[in-house]
Amino acid sequence: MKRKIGIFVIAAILAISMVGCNKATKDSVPSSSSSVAPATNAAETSKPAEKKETKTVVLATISGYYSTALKEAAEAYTKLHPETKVKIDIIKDNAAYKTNFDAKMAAGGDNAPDIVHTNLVVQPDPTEYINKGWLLKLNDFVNEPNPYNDGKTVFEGIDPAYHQNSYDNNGNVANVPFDLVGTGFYYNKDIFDKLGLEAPQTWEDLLADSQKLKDAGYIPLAMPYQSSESWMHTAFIDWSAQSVYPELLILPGDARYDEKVDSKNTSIKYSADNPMFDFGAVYDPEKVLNVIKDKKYDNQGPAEKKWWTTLKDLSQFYEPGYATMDDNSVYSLFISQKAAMFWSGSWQVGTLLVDQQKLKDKSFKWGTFKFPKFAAEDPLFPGSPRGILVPGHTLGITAKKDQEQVERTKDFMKYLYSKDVAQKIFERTLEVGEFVQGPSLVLGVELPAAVNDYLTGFKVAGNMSYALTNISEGVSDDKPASDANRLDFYQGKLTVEKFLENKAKFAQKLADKQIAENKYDLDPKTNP
Amino acid sequence: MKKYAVSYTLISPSVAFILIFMYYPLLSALFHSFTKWDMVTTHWIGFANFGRVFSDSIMGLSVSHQLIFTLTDLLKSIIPPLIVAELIHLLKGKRAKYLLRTGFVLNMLVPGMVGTLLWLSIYNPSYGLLNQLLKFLGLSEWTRAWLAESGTALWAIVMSGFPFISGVSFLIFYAAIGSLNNEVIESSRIDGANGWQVFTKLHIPMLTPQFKVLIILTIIGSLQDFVKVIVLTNGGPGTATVIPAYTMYGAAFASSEYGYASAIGTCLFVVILGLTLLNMKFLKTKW
Amino acid sequence: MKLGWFPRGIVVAVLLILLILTLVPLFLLFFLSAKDNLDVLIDFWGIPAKIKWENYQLAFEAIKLSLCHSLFVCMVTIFGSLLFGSLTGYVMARHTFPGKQLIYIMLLGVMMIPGILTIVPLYSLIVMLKLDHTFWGLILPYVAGSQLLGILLCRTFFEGIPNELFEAARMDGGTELYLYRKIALPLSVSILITIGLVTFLSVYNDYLWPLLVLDQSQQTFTVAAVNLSSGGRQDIGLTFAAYVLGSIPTIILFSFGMKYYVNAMLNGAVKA
Repeated sequence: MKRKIGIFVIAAILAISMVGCNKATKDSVPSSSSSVAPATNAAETSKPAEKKETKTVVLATISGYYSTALKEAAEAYTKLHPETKVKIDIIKDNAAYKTNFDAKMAAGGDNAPDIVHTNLVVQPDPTEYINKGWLLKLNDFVNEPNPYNDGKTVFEGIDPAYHQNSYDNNGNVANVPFDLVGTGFYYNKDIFDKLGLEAPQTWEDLLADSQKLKDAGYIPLAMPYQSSESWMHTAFIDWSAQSVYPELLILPGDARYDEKVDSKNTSIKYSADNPMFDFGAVYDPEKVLNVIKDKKYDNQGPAEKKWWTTLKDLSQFYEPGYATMDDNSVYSLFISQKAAMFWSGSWQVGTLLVDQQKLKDKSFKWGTFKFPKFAAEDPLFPGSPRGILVPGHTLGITAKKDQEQVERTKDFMKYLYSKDVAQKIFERTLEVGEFVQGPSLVLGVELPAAVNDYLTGFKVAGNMSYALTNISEGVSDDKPASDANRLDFYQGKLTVEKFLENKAKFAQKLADKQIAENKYDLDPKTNP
Repeated sequence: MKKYAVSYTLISPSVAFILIFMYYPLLSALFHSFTKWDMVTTHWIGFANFGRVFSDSIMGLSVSHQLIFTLTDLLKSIIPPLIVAELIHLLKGKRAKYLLRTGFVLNMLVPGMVGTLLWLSIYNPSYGLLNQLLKFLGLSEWTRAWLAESGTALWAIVMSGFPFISGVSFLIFYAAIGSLNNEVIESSRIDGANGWQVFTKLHIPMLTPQFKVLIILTIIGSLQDFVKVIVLTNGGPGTATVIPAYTMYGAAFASSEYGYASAIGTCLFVVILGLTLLNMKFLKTKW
Repeated sequence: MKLGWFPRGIVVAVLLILLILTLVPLFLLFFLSAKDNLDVLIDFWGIPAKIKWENYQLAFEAIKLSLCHSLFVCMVTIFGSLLFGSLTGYVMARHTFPGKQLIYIMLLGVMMIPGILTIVPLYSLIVMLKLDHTFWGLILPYVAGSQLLGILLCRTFFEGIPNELFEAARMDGGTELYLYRKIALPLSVSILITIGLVTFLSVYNDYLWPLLVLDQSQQTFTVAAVNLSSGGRQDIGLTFAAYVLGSIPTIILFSFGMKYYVNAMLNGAVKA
């Protein structure tokens, strides 16, 4: 008897859920309202000639990244091209994003998203995925005219200063950048005013101000140690070691030399006064490894000692428990005014603006300041720090077998990279209070003055280069051990010499691994 | 053979499902632990991945952390739920029993993310409940960054989830205690055994099958569980909370080294299998 | 067992304290579900100035369809996993046949391989079988995986049932299926409910697998709930409101389950 009731209950719930499903499906006809204005003149030039089979193009993105505005752009595009449906898939986090792409490509690729953020699926660079045939080489695509952007080519619509960042190690175009991302300091102006402090310009000021803030009972600096302290390391490496860069260039006579990509290299000369000296530089991975193998860049010089000691001093002012603190908790310290400064990325500007509006009487005035210099000129740190501003989100196209699918995807990409559509995406994203990572790289897009003001803390002199970052910061299997090494140093358990010696060992180990994996002979004149 | 036909027929659906949906991917994972696999090309590299597992500089440390986690997981999954199940059985009222057993199971509804946020907010050094409580009790010198100091991080993870009354363990014990043969127990009571003696001399031996099952389930779960480490400390500070499954997760997802990840997974598999067989032998019953 | 009022009072007090501590996450879920995301960030423990009921409305709109998908998948999975799990558990407990131990270890062995390693090959298999973008692509592997717990628990449970119960029926000429249906199953309601609940929750809360297999129009509850964000961040209040709403079907199931979760049946049966 009782069993029968049980079965009945299950059957009833099943029936209800099925009915519910059907009903809900009917309810959820996609709404056709849209706030992204279609690029009308483009619509006329690219009218569908005959009735085409309906296809769906999928752009996979991550929670919150321009997602509302992208969805609106997708709807607007489908209005323009009824034969192509565009869907924006939102995925929880980076790990799921990468797994989703990898698993679907490993299974043949038909179900994989058509457009992906290459910065989320391939780190540190897209060469591997281009070689696997998973990402399309965009070499021709970037030179095709973009009908949505007055017929300029795709690359002509993108800030030329950052074209080089789109190339992989073999000179293929792997992605198109959409925006810039930078890191800098945020500070609470109310707290600074109360204590009579100014935004610090030098490391010495920063440390002195931090002490005053600490004495006044504040957490001086909220530091997302796990995710973002490494941006500082990169800035210091670039600042102190940039004179080595010319030795790393791919030059005529090298096996990797490709006239089309690398010709700018021949005119690059190092100059401390010119922060743009390496504009357009492309580096040879074997030359980079040579520099570390023959200890020309050994990770343990006087410059390293100085900047690591500076960071150690600064770490005394991080929030308690920084070593394992999650980013969300770090942000909450700043927005609740427990912390007076906050090291973070330009993506936080949009969020902070919205949160300040919502805070009403608890809101506070805030500003940004740049990565500081040292008070006294130091030959170890020539010129000014170039700061941190690099392409953030970069979109790539999945290499699918279905040619027509790829063509439709390319057309939607062009649509996204037109001035009008990109402008609308940035505006809408700010309106709904989502992340704007930083300034747009699509030429002609203007951000509101208020946002631009706050972004000044991220405006930099020149382009920081990652040329040496990998072999200085990288670790192979030793990430936890290398983290422990740094913490021990910060906590005074290791001298700076011992810390750097350990660190150099990790770097050498990684170099050996890379040499073995890529079968490098370390002779740039030959190809492995 | 014919007399076994019924047995084989009845288990055939289970076996078929497992062969298709579990063994194919499982063997693929085992196979890839001997390869360098980028999901397009596969290179047979023999035992090189395993060599890497054993030469990892912190593997020893990582195993010792795992040992602590697994031992405490075993205690946590058995003792508190057993006590609660016994205590509820001591009560008389049907209604009270129903409400209490529902109450202790209700927690299963709560998604993991809630627990994570809860414990992060308890341990937070700046606004966490634990430090505020200590300050309130006048023990300010005891406050610390629980998850960020190498002395406390591991134990802070162990203690998260207090009071450790897992719904599944509780239900298993509750059902088992309810179905214990009351006649034996009643007669021993008449012989003058007190509650404690009944518990130790009768309940505990009679619950052996449940212990065995829970030990197996806990070991399997414990060796594969890297989520609590990822969300609470990310293996840190430094190496203080690194465990093998965490390293495996990093190899698979952060660095796309599925072959190496599979090798770590295979080692875990061998360890779990060994412990399970030991468990079966050690707590021997009629199988 | 008889207890005086005083010791019983202590037992009740201890149980209540433990119950409250155990349910803290549940209280927190309700508490945060009506909080604005910014309030959660600024003052996690504080009582918000204004309670944000609209979280529930927003969350409901976003997840109603996905809830149906999840329930359908859960029900079919539970049915399959209970059927196969109890059948195999029964055979493993009461029969002896060549290779039994080996098959048993083989079944259990599957649970011991970390799931994240099998995701990529399993997905390739699902695509090969053309089960991608179908609910069966979810259900079949779920049944295969979740029946294992059923086998383990049912075997343990059936081994504890006195043999004489079965012998009597076998004398009367009952077939194996008859014994399973008429004796084993009715006795095992409590363990089956336990297994069913665990299966329900693990299927219900899975994220990665539905994300891979299903089309976005078919998404399940967890996938939909995670996408609830505001201001470019996951909105904790909104997500938790979705979790509360999503737990309503579970609560209904639980209360039915708990009713059937009877424990004295076995003794009753032995005596009868």
